[in-house]
Amino acid sequence: MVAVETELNADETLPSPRRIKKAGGKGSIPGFVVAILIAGVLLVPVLIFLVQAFFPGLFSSSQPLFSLSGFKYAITGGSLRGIIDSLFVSILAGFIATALGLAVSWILRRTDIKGKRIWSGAIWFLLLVPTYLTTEGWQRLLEPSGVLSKANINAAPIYHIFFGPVGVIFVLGMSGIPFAYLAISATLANLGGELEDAARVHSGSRIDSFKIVIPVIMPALMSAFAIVFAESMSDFGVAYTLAANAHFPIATYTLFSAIDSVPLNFQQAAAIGWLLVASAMVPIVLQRRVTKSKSYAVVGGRRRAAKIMNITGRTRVIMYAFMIVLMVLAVMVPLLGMVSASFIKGLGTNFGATSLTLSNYRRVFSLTLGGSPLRFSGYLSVLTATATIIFGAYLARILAKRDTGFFGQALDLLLIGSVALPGIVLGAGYIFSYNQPFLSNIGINLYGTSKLLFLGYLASSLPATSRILIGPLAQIQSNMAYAARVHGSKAIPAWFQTVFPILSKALLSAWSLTFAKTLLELPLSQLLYPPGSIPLSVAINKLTAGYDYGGGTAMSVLALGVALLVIGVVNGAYRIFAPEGWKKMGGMFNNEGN
Amino acid sequence: MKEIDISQDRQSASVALELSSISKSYDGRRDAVKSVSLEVNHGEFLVLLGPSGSGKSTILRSIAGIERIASGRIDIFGKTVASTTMHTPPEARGISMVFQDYALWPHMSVLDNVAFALKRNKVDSKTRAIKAQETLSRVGLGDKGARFPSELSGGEQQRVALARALVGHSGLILFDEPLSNLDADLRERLRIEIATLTRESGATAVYITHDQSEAFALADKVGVLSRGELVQIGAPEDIYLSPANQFIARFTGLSGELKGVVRDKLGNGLVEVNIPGVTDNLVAKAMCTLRAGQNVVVAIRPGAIAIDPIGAIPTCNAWILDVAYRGRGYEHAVSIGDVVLQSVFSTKRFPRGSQISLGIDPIGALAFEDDEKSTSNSVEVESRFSADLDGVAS
Repeated sequence: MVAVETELNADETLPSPRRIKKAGGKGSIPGFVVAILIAGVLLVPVLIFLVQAFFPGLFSSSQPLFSLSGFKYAITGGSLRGIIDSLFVSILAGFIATALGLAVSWILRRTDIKGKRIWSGAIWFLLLVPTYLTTEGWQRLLEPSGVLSKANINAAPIYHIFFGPVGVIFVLGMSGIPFAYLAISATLANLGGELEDAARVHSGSRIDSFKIVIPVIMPALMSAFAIVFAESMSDFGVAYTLAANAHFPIATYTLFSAIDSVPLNFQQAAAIGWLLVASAMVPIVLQRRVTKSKSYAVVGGRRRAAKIMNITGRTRVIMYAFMIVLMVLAVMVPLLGMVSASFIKGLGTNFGATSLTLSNYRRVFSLTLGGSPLRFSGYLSVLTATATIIFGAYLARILAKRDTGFFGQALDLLLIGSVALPGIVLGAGYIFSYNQPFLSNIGINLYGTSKLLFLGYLASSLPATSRILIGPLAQIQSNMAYAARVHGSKAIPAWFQTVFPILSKALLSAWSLTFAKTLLELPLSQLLYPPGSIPLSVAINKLTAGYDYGGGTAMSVLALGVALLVIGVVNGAYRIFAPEGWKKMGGMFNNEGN
Repeated sequence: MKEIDISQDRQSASVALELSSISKSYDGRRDAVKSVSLEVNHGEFLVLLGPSGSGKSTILRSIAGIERIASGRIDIFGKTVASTTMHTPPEARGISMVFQDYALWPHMSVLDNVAFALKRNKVDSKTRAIKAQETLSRVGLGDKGARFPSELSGGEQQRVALARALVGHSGLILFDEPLSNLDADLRERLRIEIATLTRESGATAVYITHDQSEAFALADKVGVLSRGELVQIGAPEDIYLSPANQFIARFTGLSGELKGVVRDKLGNGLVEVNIPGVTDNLVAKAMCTLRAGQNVVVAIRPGAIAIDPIGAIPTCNAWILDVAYRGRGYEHAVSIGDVVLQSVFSTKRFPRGSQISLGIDPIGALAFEDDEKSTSNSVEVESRFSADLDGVAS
């Protein structure tokens, strides 16, 4: 909304002044609206749900008001096993992704390897693909009556290794690479070459200079580990597919089971939720404490650009081989599994002739399960992505200010905590909170509607997006908008004329990422989809659960294709229609090698 | 927004800008600006000079409307734009500003950056482009209009910012330390351009800096700020020759300070000072009412010192500690008693360790009452000597 400013008549020399608001103007109406939104979609539902672990009788007269029996359940039997398994796979996935992310960052940022755009594109793609699709690709390829089996290749030994903890760790580790890459690559690029030069000048070898750099980039490595660990702890895709089928229970699935089977047990689910949230938060809090207690500042005004290593000979072969193998395993194989399975008739059965067919696609389109999930998820994803960048940019604007005040600090803490909040916990919170009779009594009937699913998507995407946008916003000098105002532009137009164009690429990246993530989102979709409207991810898993592997993979390929198509069209339109100057500005991932 | 026609007011009001007891604090924690009052006449170039934290940026941003004042009043061309109860937004004040960090919009071409400031004049885009191009040519960037700011050097970027401020003929141009991010040579060249182009435009200018040589070179009037207060305002010569207090004397450039005791009053505002261990007859200008036997600090301007003086100036012995070649001559650091005087100029080179005889001209020896009651001369003085000021002192 444009602020009311004084209009001048031609014969007036200077405007009549307007009354000022309270000095500082911190309690603005948009700020209040955002605070209500954050409370309504994120804080309150999750807290109400988690409180059930201690006060099961708070909203139910049939339960004792206070009881810790939920925790007793959570730390015994299958639940305990789930938590231990989750910690085990997440720690390993964190280490694997951090090590691989460091290697990829180093190769793309510090060497002259060719095809950096393609490698970056592959990492982007990996970021978009949810773990349940990666799992599906591998499973369709390797399973006893899968694609390789149909091609008379015996993949059974590999399948037996993959179908269990190894597969879970592998998929989570590969899916974590983009997060680790984003956390490490910017730091590597900003490191400059002086530290390594100083080591070499003082008789250090290449290995010595590498040893010097590693401790300096330790915060980025810790950050990478913390993010991958939290993502793995929160992951529901592998838990719901591979881990559940392999009878390797992990915590998100045990929480899901507690609220997906009759009788619903929110107290147990909430207790598992506490353990999940606490586990995901621990490395993030530790990482923040360590980086705050010690100065790791490496970026100074006198920094020179990092030296790009000219790779030749054996090193060159090793690096290309590493990148190719990694991308084949992380991207190409699961993609190949999905695509090939989608063209095979009768996959998953030992009967019938194996032939290439388009019937899977025809069936997916003709079924109500096909077209309508795509439309439904597409519609909600566009809405979610748009709302997320609007509110995310506003939140980031508050957080990017140096003096954010109490509200800003509380918001910062909440959003950091929410980044690590598993989608399954959020979904459980929504089911519990928005199904309360008192809400219906006051006219809020969101439970079982697509509106609630939209709010869930928004709540799940807002924390990460707003935190990602803080970086680009913090880099914009506050004087940009002031310069426009001093030279005659009003407040809101000044922001759109000066800050928005600079931010446009970052907003576009954030929109694209949110759109793709929402289109393929599983845990909230699974828990909150309204009757009669099935989201894509649920439809894919329903088809797969019904042994229609051809249909499931066809819909997966279709979903990925639509995600890439929409992102391609939106970004292409930006390239064509955006003013030249806008395109010169950095995007959210403007530090990617190119 | 309609164009703000301030031409009538400019003609009718000899005072272009008036600050009346303005104050500002941040979150109630400290007073950034304490009851500052000043006037700037039409076409005048005011420089607000002060160290970091003195409140000069806050004053400038309050004039621009970026900050809101807590109390007092700001009038621009006779119209009140800010007071305790009202605040006119920046875009409605009809001013221009050059920012320390340039604040050029990186997504706009250089020409568009400059033309932006003409939007409020409600002229068509073609005219805007022509005027912007003309102004770019005036600042020597006529061939750079199609480029983007990131494709220009720091000096060129600041020229674009200057062109943006000049193009709209706003009547009041604010300069927020525009030269502080540039290297020395470029700073000097751009200073001259700012001085000439601003005066050619006929605009009133308020310029803030922490660099006293820049202030004295640019200003018609200098206001010195300390801890949020305006401690002295006047012509550059008045500030330099008659600083109101020791802080201003120090901040505007000293060779060093000597502590001593007044021996006698000599008339014409001069006193004779005994500097223990150095000389017993240093003649200095009394900067306040002084009496015989009173402890004083004598602040020595660089231009007031001569090595091997010829004439009637009383002399004292000193030793050369260091010498630096400065093109037109040599700057020496000399030891006098236990005090080091810096930036002592001579066209002749005196070798390190040599003994010399030093004369101090009373016009540049400023005696202030010493609050510390100590006659020790181990006073550390930050020399802020600038060769530009030699002429002012002499």
